[in-house]
Amino acid sequence: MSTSETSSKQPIVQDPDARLMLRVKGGDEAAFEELVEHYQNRVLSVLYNAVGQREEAEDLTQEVFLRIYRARHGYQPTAKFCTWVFTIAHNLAANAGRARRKRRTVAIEAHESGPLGPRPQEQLVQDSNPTASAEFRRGEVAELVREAIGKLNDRQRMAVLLNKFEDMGYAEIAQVMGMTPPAIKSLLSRARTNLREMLEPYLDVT
Amino acid sequence: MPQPMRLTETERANLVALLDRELSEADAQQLEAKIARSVSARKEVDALEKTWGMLDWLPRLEAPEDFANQTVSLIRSRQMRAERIEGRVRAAAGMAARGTAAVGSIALAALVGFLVVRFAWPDPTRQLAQDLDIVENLDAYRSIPDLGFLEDLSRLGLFSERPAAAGAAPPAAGEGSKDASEMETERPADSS
Repeated sequence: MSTSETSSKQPIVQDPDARLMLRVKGGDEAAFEELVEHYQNRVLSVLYNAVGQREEAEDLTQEVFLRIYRARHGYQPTAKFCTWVFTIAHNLAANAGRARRKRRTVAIEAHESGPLGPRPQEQLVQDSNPTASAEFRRGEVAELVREAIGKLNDRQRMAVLLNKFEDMGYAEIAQVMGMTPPAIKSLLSRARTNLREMLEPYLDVT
Repeated sequence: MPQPMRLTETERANLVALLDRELSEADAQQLEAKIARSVSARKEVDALEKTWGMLDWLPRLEAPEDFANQTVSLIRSRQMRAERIEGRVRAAAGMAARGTAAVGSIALAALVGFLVVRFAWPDPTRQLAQDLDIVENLDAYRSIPDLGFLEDLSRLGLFSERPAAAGAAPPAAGEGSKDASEMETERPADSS
């Protein structure tokens, strides 16, 4: 192996999660459990905010780890381990989204709230209380934000979640989502503009 | 001439990349300079930052306490099931291979049997067809009294297109005018 190859692979091998995965590949089940514990909350949070239902998010999270375990024999540490994990999570979330849309046979009514549950604004209109916006509690603000995220399309939502929750740069998000960094730049720009339009009226509330 | 204060579409699209520190140094400096001169651009950046900050309200879930255990158990049980299925598939494949071998053996035996019967076993019908000329003329052949009669016919040149042998005496006048059929009818009478 040449020196340049060694130096290019060194940071990847230094990735502690990749080292854990190499132990899993060698048959160390305790290392796998360690990986699950390390990633479960991160994957679950991204998937929950992507699909909107806790139970489904937990099932998908288990599926992510199942796929990782199945692929252990062929694992090569050629990329950051977390990039691989979230690539699997993204694919599963996208499949789940497609399946959900397919299942939807009932026409969507104007007041339907989408995958993330009832809209706080709908409640506000029903309450017809002019001072309600000033009395938002923290949970209600969270609901507003969830609703706004739920209104983004699947790709925008996933890019935002990876950017916000995992602090991923455009290049890494592009790798996870199978897109180019310029496409991610454009996707995130549109997503953030949409979020600004949806959430700006509630900035004072927070 | 003063530069326009409003952001262009491209600059607007670059605002988010600027906030994410994903813009090149040169582009970032240019955009920052423009933002510094534009009140509306500063408001826009401010709104983008604040609404991005609102995403901190999104729930970050904690998995149930035994989630890792459950996941590992689920994976083990699925793996065991997969191994069982794999074992069954392997057993079925073995049975199929044995069945195929048995059917192949039977087919091979049938083929060998057919070939033996077809080529090695004497076929009376074929023998009969081979001897058909003889069978059809059997009565004529039986009417021949002995080998001498045939030798006489041969000397007369009846069996050959060549002329009769040099040493052979030409048939006597009157005798030579007789044809074979006459001789055939006469000879049995002579012999009798």
